[in-house]
Amino acid sequence: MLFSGSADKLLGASILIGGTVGMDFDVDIFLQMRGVHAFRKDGGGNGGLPISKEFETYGPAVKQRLQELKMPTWLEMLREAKGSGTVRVHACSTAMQLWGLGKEDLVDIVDDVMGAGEFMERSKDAKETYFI
Amino acid sequence: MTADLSVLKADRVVDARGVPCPGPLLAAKKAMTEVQPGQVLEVKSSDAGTLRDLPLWANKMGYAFLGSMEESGYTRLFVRKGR
Repeated sequence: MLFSGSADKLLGASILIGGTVGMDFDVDIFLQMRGVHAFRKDGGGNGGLPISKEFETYGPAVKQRLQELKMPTWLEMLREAKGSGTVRVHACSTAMQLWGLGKEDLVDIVDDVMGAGEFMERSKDAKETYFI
Repeated sequence: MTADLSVLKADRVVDARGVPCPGPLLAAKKAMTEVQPGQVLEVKSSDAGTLRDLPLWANKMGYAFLGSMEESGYTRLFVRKGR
């Protein structure tokens, strides 16, 4: 469950997803609210997103360090994870309505748009669930 | 089984130095698809997490983790496809 649309949480999520795929587990991601916003083609994929409030004061220093380390962006990491195993990205239909978006407005790694019910049915046998 | 890693010649080498976690693990996973059973994959990584990730991954996938060697600023890790 990817609810957040802030750069630091998305990076954390992408690292976890990469590790999950690396260990040969499948991943289903449900994008909600600002999580959907972050996947807009014209939105923040590469750095235009805000930092979480509680992390704000560290933001500039962390950003600089990420650049020094040549760290990929969260979206690049997620793309790599998706290319390395099974990662399905589902966008919440209500959030799509809220932001006035169609699937074509989202980056290509989003697979489909679905409702909460379908996602819960799909993920009911999941071994682990994370809310980020 | 113990292998003398210093003379071990890997059949395929992946250089993931400077790549942050989980990049080296994903690179290893990808490279292993092109390694034949019985062959050895070497992963070069400067990420501390790889040292723990790779043996766990190898064990889960049914590969043999042969061990690792510290070099200056990075580690060489060896995995054989198949036990």
